[in-house]
Amino acid sequence: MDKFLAKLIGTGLFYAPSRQDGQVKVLPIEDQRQIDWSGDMPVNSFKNIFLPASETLFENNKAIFENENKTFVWGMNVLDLQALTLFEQVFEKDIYFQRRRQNIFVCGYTGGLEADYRRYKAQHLSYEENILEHLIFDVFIEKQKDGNFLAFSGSEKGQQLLEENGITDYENIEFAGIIPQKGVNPVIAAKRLAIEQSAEDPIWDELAQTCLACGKCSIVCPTCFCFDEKDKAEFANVKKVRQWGNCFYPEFSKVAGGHKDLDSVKKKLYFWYTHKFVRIPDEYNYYGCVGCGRCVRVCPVGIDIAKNIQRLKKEKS
Amino acid sequence: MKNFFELKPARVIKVINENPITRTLRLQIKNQEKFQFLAGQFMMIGLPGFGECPISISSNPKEAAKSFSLTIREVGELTVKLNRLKQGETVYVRGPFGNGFPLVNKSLILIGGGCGFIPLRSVYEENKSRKDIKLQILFGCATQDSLVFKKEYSKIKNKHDFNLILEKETMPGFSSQKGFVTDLIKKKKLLNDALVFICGPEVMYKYVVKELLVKKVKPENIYFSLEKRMHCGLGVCQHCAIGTKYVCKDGPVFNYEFLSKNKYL
Repeated sequence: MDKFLAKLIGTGLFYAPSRQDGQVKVLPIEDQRQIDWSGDMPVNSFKNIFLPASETLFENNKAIFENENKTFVWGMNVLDLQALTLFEQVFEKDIYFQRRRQNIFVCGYTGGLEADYRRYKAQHLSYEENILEHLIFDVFIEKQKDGNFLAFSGSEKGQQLLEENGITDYENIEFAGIIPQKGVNPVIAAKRLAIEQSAEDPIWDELAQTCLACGKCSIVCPTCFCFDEKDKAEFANVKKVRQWGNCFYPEFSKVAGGHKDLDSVKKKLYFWYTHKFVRIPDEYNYYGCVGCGRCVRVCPVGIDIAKNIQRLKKEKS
Repeated sequence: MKNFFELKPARVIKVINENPITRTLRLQIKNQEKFQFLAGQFMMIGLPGFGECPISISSNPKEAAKSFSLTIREVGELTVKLNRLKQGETVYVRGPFGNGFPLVNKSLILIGGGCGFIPLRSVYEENKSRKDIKLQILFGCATQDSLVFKKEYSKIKNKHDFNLILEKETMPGFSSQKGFVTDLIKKKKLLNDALVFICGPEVMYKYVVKELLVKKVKPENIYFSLEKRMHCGLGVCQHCAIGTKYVCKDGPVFNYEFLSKNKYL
């Protein structure tokens, strides 16, 4: 494994969970000894690699494709792979995402899948045995209790990468669609209904009293993909850039003339939850929240998405 | 793979002054003869360095192969810049986007407020010569100075039931009283079992609906065109989401039943 990693690090950009200032973070690294193998949930997500916080789309009306370097993303846990699986649906027709993705090798990692679900307190999602069949990745590595590694490939690209590096003892996982069931996923449907019917629920007023609308939840969320398009002019050079958007920020819904649809914290909160639990399921029949708990950890006032969903589901039933 | 964000150059072939802060730009793109749109759809229009914004198409869809028109009111940096464009200059567009108004298969009432008449003009132009349906137009505006397509009113009035009311002044030949578009709805006998297409500032919508329901207009016949902040036009960036839908993709035209179910009106 050491040899494999050293080779990858030598051939391209390499991102992995790494411990810095006492926290596990997703960082670009240059030495495999920097990799954190604990399986702890990183404080930030991997999304910046797939959808940069800011990227140039055009320069003087000519399409620009930034960073087409070979990139390895190491150590994505199963929940982060679910978030990536969603992004693959959302940006299916986005040329910028797709071109970047071609050069990215996604390597998932676990120290035990079932145990991951318990340790991440994956809240509303429960462990499914054939989960790997429903995730998008190139390579997946499982560390066994005896310290040995099992390798899986999830794409031709992944197979090639393993074989080029002398790893021939791997299992190929055939992708079986993004969800196990045919039709509507009942877990998704139950939450969808609870949120859709909660517009008048007092919970939104209660949350609005503590929520600071700081938007940190949205920044760390691996499934938040809102964006803004902006022109940036530097002398005669005009760039069109795409930047992460944030529905908690004041400009998000502002139209010319100053009117804002989202003119209260209560509306912003309901908008955020509706995107995750109603609009994403409607469009992609997939989870809009993978239950990673990053937003709970980062929230300065302790708002807990899992508890809120539980409460709304209970009130519903 | 197609680049959805790519803007195409469009040549300004005519500029029409509508009022001191509103102009209509008649535009032509490369391969204009293949261009098609539906009444009620919109374009993203931009100038390098000033970003893009959604603007309703105001011309006749049947004339799309020749040109299309965008009528623009100055409300921000980009729109001010757009309205300084002269004939022969270049602007950048992508689209058309959105669903457009539904098929007009019965009589039609157009209700506009201020520059809300812009997308309705496209519907009017498309249907003005039809013999199988009746048209009724109710249009409210603040002053004569804020009217759009003013030069066309006499012609419209000669052919159809055209009603105008201004909030702050009267207008000889059109309006002898001051008031709001809701006053017109109250006063007029509305066409029977007609479709009603409405566009205007959003504050006006709930008052208009109230009067229409008093007049026993069926909720399923009422359609609104909405305006939202937009960045992508593809239903991804989230800026224009309302409830379960996107104004750019599922709208901008929504049936009243959808909006009331989503507590939007």
